[in-house]
Amino acid sequence: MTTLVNGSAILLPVLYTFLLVALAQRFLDRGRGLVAVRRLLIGSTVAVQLAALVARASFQRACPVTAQSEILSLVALTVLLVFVVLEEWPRRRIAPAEDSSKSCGVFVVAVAFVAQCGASLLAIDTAPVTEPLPFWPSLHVFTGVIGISAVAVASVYGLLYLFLYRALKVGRFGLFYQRMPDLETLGRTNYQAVVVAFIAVSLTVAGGAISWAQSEPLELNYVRVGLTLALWVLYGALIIGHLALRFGGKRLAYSTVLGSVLALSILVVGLMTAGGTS
Amino acid sequence: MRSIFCLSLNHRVTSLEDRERVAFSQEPGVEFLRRLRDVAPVEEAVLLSTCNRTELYTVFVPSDDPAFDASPLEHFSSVSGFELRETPPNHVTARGRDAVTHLFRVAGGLESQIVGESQILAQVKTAMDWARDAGTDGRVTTRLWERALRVGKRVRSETAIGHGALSASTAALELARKVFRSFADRSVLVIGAGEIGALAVQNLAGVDVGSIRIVNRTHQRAVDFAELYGGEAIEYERLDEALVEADVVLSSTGATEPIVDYDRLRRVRARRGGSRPLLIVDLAMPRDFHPKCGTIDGVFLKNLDDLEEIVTLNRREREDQLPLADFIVRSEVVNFFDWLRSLRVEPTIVELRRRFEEIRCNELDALRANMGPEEFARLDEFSRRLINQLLHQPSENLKRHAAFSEWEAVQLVHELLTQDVPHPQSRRSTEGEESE
Repeated sequence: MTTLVNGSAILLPVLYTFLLVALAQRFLDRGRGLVAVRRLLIGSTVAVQLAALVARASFQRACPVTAQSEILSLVALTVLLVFVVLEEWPRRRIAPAEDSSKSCGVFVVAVAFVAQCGASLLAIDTAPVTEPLPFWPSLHVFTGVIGISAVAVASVYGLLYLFLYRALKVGRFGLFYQRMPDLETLGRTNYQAVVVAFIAVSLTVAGGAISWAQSEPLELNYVRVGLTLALWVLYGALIIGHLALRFGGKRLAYSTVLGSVLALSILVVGLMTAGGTS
Repeated sequence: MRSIFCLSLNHRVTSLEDRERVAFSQEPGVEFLRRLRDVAPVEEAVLLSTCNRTELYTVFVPSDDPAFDASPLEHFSSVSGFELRETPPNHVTARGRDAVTHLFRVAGGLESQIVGESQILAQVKTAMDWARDAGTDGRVTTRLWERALRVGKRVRSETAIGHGALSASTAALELARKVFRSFADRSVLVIGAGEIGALAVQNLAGVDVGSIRIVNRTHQRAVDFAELYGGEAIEYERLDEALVEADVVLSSTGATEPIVDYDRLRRVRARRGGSRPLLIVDLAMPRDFHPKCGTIDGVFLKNLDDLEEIVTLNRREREDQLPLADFIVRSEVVNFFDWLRSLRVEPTIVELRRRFEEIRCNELDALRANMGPEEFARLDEFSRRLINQLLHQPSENLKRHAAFSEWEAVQLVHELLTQDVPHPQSRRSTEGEESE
């Protein structure tokens, strides 16, 4: 068990590094390099990360969302999966030939890389937590992590949208402009990430509420609860605004960046109090 | 030994008038090749004719006749009726490696007026079709063309040499593609039914656009324009309404003052609602939209200077790719000459195989009387496989071995392996320029 955890803690940053290089080469459109094997790299990274998490889960007989390293590792995995679902998978399924070289993957996976490096640094020689969380708090934390990851991805697309918007406005047609996908695609992906984040945050709120109602061992963290509810309301308002008032584009992008500040605060508070549940 | 020769009349050395005189369409091109084959001592010939170049590639066996060097040019002149001048030169020639390198560069778009343009690849392919029709293709030119097309594809797939617009009107489309994913449900508004507007609309020909609307101060011109290029003519008085519904605006009127100022466009923007972006490409000089319009949220106003900047950046990007494209060309030239050199040892391999086969058949015949038909068939199959396996590696080595760039080595090996059968190509022809 410890060997697997330590092994994956070393292997995963290496895999993420290769994946980052592949996606950077793809973004810069510089030769083939690792681009051809990027799907293999994504698959390997996901497989190794899942294997490590399953090993932990089977050892603890509970969802591995208790230790700081577990949460960060799960953030890395879900960021990668959200990227795959939003960008890599539709590209392959719907429009494989349509300007397929233009991808923002390098920026999204950079977030996962940072999270995984943090997880690896904290994981080595650390024994798994022996007192895992019960089901509802586990679900609450697990969906919370997915929500935070989707918020992170949304904010990356939001930032890229704003950069491209600015480049188009002021006429800065450099490498960044050339290698970016179009503004509409960035805006749409940004919105899709908002929807994923909202669903996950909704489940988090529901899981937290049920746990609290069942009076399971919960130390209520009012700061985190407040921040989570603010994030939930913000993202709900963004979706309603988009559907009812065609709210989107630059304002949506700015809102998702604001959402990422809230999510980061939740993550920091959560990591500081890792071991508690809400 | 075969030699490759290239005569090129291209945009760098040949005037437009001369290029027009020597340009071929399909039927005259095929006829030219047939006549050339009849009058000139060429084994194979391919004619490449585009708006920027007419090039003749021939494969022939070099002669000792000192006048031979001039003869391909004379034959070209006599068959085409076009006078090739030396002072100042209106053509260039290349032989051997230089000729092959030139063709590969042409196929890669490196010799094109617009570097990296892709039309040339189809034209190179067509050239081989003409040669086939004329019956002047052959083993060397077929292989040469296969490699040239491969170079063209590799250069375009492995480098970014074909990326990016190189004219203002295509740069406008490129800009629109940076804002919108697709135009299928987008509305394009063309303001001004002049030449520039027509060019802009023509560039949309291959694009699936939701709707095209044309506005012109003289409404009848907008109607005529719409009939000619497709679209819907709108009265000039309804310009604001058209702007509200438009996603992309291409403006190119001859007005001396801006036709849309900041306040007017701000009102239009307010009526549009939501976050729908509006891309305005102002192709007019002087400009049709006041520069301050570009400061409105969600409005991207681009003018000719912006388009020129895109074109300049794209051109620079293409030029940056030239070393990589050159590397591809050089490596493919090496591959082609490796193959061409392997043809020198082909008679040796053929003779060697013939002898082995002869021995095999003789030995089998001697055994035939003592065997049943099934046993004989098995032995026949066994011996055939054995010979093939024994000869496979030596044959490959013979083809690949660098030493065979020297004719002495080729003939020595031929004599050693085939004993009394002379090599079909004489020592005299070793000066052939087919190699480096």
